[in-house]
Amino acid sequence: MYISDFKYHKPVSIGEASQILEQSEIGLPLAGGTDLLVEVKKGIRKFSDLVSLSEIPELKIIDVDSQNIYIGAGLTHNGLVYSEIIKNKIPAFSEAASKIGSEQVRNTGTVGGNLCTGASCADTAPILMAYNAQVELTSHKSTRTLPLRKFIISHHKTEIKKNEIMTRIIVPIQHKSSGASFVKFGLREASSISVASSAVMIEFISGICKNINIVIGACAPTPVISKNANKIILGKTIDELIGNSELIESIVIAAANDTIPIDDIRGSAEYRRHLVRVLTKQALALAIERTKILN
Amino acid sequence: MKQIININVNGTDYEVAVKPGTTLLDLLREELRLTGTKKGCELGDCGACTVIMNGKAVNSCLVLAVEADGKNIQTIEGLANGNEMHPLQRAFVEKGGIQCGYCTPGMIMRTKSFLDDNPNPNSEEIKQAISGNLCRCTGYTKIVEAVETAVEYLNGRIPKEIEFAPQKSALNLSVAGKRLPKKDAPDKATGRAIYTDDMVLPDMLYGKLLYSPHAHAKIISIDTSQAEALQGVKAVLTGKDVTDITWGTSPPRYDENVLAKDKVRYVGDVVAAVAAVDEETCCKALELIKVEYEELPAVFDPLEAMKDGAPRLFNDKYENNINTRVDHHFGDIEKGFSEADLIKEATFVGNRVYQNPMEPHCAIAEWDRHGKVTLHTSTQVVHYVHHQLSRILALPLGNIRIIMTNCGGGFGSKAATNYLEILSILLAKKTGKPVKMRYSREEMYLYGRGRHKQYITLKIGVKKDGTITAVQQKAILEGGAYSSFGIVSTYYAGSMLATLYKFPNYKYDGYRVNTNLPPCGAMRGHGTPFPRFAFESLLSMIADEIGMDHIDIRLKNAMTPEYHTCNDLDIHSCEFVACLEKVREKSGWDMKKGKMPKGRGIGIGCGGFVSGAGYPIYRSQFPHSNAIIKVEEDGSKAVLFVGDADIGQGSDTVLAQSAAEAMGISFDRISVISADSDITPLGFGAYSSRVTLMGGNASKMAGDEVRMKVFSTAAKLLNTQVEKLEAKNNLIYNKENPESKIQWETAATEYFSKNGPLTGKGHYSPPEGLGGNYKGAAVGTSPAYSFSATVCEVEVDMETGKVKVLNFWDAHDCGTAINPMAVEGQVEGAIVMGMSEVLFEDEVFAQNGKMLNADLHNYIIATSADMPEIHSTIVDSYEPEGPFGAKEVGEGATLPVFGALANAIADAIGVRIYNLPITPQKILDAINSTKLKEKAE
Repeated sequence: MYISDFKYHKPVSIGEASQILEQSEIGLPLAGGTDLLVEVKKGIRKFSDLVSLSEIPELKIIDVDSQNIYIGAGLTHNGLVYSEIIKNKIPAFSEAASKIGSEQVRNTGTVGGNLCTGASCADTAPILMAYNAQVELTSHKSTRTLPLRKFIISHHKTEIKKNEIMTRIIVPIQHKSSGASFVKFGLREASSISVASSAVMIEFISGICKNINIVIGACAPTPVISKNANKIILGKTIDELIGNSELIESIVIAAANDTIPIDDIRGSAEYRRHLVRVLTKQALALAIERTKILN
Repeated sequence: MKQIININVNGTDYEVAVKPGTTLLDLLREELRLTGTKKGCELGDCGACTVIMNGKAVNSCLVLAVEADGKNIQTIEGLANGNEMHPLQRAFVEKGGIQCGYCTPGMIMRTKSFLDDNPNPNSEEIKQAISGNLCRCTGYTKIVEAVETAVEYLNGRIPKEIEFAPQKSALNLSVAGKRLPKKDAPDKATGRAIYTDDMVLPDMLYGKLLYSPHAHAKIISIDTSQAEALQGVKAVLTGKDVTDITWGTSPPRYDENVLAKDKVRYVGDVVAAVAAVDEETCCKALELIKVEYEELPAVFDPLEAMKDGAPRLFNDKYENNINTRVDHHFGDIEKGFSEADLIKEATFVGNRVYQNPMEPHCAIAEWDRHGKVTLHTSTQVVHYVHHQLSRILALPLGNIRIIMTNCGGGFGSKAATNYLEILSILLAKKTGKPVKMRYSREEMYLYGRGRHKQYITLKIGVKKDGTITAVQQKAILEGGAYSSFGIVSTYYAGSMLATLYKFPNYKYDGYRVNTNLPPCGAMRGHGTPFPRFAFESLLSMIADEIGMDHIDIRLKNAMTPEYHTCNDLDIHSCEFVACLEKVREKSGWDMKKGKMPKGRGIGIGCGGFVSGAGYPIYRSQFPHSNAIIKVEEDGSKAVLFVGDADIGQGSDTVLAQSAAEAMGISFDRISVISADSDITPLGFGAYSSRVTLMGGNASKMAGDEVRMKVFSTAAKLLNTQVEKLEAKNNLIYNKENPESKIQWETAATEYFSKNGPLTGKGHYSPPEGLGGNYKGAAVGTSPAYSFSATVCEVEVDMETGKVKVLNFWDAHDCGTAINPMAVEGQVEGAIVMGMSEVLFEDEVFAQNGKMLNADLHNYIIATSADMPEIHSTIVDSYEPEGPFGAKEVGEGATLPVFGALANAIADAIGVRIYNLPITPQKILDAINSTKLKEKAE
């Protein structure tokens, strides 16, 4: 196994990185490399240039203002797991990051890399989508932000342009009366790939659900926002949404029906739909539980 | 273009030029020659290459060296303080946390970074922390114990001693029977143990193989001209350049070509070989070889392949693709079933699993100027490789030297000759230079030789009291493209059912069928785990139907000592009943069985195995194991030379214990040189769980000879007779008057001075005439059999179908445990491997025969986070045929696991799953199908 020859660049600014990418024949930005180097070694990716993002300081900063949390896309998964800001403000994201790969992978792989790989089974995307996160894409010419849900187009396909680098993930500050959770199902207890996952963000005002976002992972070419489940939940009271009711059944069935899973070596489409029901029930209950804590 | 980087490794600054595609792993191993960091999968899945970079554990295979510019790297070589091991290393050595040692450096480095952050972890945190480091040998149990011990050392505390009651048969032993650390463990803990891929010979070339992309095709033409023209390429070989001699493992079925001659039979069949200045050039050359194929219809399912008109893999043999057919009938099956009150039949399907030793296969060949070739290889069986190469190369054994380097695990995958061994020799011959060849993880799966998938229809008849009256088994083994060990596997699948329970009437129909998939071979338990899984499952089902306790039905039929089985196998020592009673007691079986809530279950499974095959696969009259001991002229140390291979299971240590016990010297006075065909005498190697008994007997016999020679001198010096002497712990004394004594080395020096070299030799051949007179009667014979019983407790998530294995209670009759810590290590490793096979593992193929999960990312094996609590017991037992009463443990420990776990799951969910692996999806389907049934009723 070898990596064919290429031009290696280690720019120190985003502008420089963007220019190199633009001028390259087939340039790829290299973040943590835990996905990219695997593809490169397997010969799946053809490329002429690798542009290392490791020496660009602003990619590793976490910032907060009154509106948003700004997460540098170059932060490693463990950088997020151990960040007090992330743990306090968006704990479900910290949990999701803690369930990716092994410790070694979490020490190297980055959140930006995970999103830009765009794998359907990625664990950072569903919860970030549930949090209504935006991603910031920067080139030497411009910066744009777009909702994460629009960024991921399909399995391994995103909106990123050749000269763009994902610089930040912008997560709105969660309201006090909201709660969020991420639950995944893997075949073994560690280093497992999600067979299905469910992320929930829910917000109550005066005991009535004003905001809900259920996002299912690994059950379609992209994480799926379950519009039909969201529709059922919106406007319901906290009491209606607790326990084992027919309403909950209808919610999780709606969530499962909104997915378009495939059969693969980790499970059948039917089994995945079943998992979506189980996981969404757990995730919803957990998210609601957390609103009480925050309240 | 190369770039200069500055990197600090273990406190030393390096300024090196690297290509941008060089990984940190390759920089460390190939440029800096720090080979302690291991290459296991190259894709970030196994953790063997873990190093600490700026304080954090990373997989060095997924870090580019250019990205490590300016960073501080710690590797295993930097951990010890000179000759003083780090407390972590010491703990791994002392607690038996090291077997093959290939995962060890990465495991230790990951643990180091973990303990730096969390100096007082609990065991759950430890299991999570090391879950990115796969180990196939230890079952993680002793690794977790080692980490806990290291925590004590690092905090300045003294670790608790393990409570251990020696077996009765070990009470009078002073070296054997002791929990001693493995001889090779310190080298493995410090990264100093050399595996084949760690070696570089001067002017060495690299070799790579071209594989068939088609499952079945005729080769029309091969054009190698472009490949040969590529700069750096030194040789290209195809089928026309190599011998027509076919090879394999079992003499009646040599059906593999060195390189494909006229057709290919699976995706991965070997078509060409290239030698070049580096691996990259080899790979580029392979892409330039133009092969024109004419595709043929392929068949992947053995049940389809057996049908008339199915595509044939071999036109000249194996009618209906049936590669091996066994037709055995013992006693009278009709009569047996007619005496039964209940007859129950079911069909079980095993899975296609791969051994996945952590070390990929690797071989280096070099010819000298006298026509002799030396091969360094990671093998379990020097003797098989030696024998097979002698045939293929048409050279006498003396012109071939096979040296087993440290072997990073085998489990059967390295038990036979492989393509790297043959083709590195041929490429070295053609180029006149040493050639190294190694498999990637993907190539390991393509070479295959894993466990045969089996379709087993089993029928058992019992009387009302549970007495078995008849057993009938039909097994269809999915063989893959070639024979490998398959004939033996097919016989074993039948013969070993008869050793555990007594039944007088038995019919076995075995079929091994060729398919267009990687060849299957011998894996831990060789052919027998699936039949045993079927038997243990069906026996528990029968117990339920006749209202009998699952352990009681086993006790009713349990094997007892000195029994002659219906298929003419002779059982001698047997403490199976004690095993059953022990696990019943320790697991709290009577309190738990039938009394646990839904979703929680308990099950029993049993097993047993040969302590070495009674007959060799290559027929000869040679003793199966042989040993030579040479004592230094001053008597200070002895060296044991033995042909059998230590592949991590610890045989060097166990054989040293046997020899030292026989000689009367202490463990620190003996060292071992093993598995080098020029230096060590013939040994049949590490397969069929044979080394402790056979190698142990040979080593003990050599030790006895040395002792008697030393006694002859000591008797004169002490002025007494030889018969009155005894030797223990480096002292020779008069039994009747222990005060009359002499230092062992004094007598040994005196002996040497008078007689020349003080040596001993030993050999072991199984008793003559083992087994019956029918065709295939040899398979299953052995000087001694092990027995075991295992109780498993699980919890099943009834909503997702996910299984959490909580506990295993195991009791093993391995005779006298020469090294109880090593025995526990085998049991724990076998339990976790077996559990992983039952729950997770399965090779999956696309419709075109291409394997879909040929990596450790998609073919998942158990991590430390999945491990159950394992409570193992060694029961009192003594086998007269074994050294100091010893018999096997390595493979037998696998056998009870499948049935115990399957029975526990069935108990938990109230419905049985017949097809392995038992995945959450299958469990859920089974739960749902019973719900539907209940509704319908």
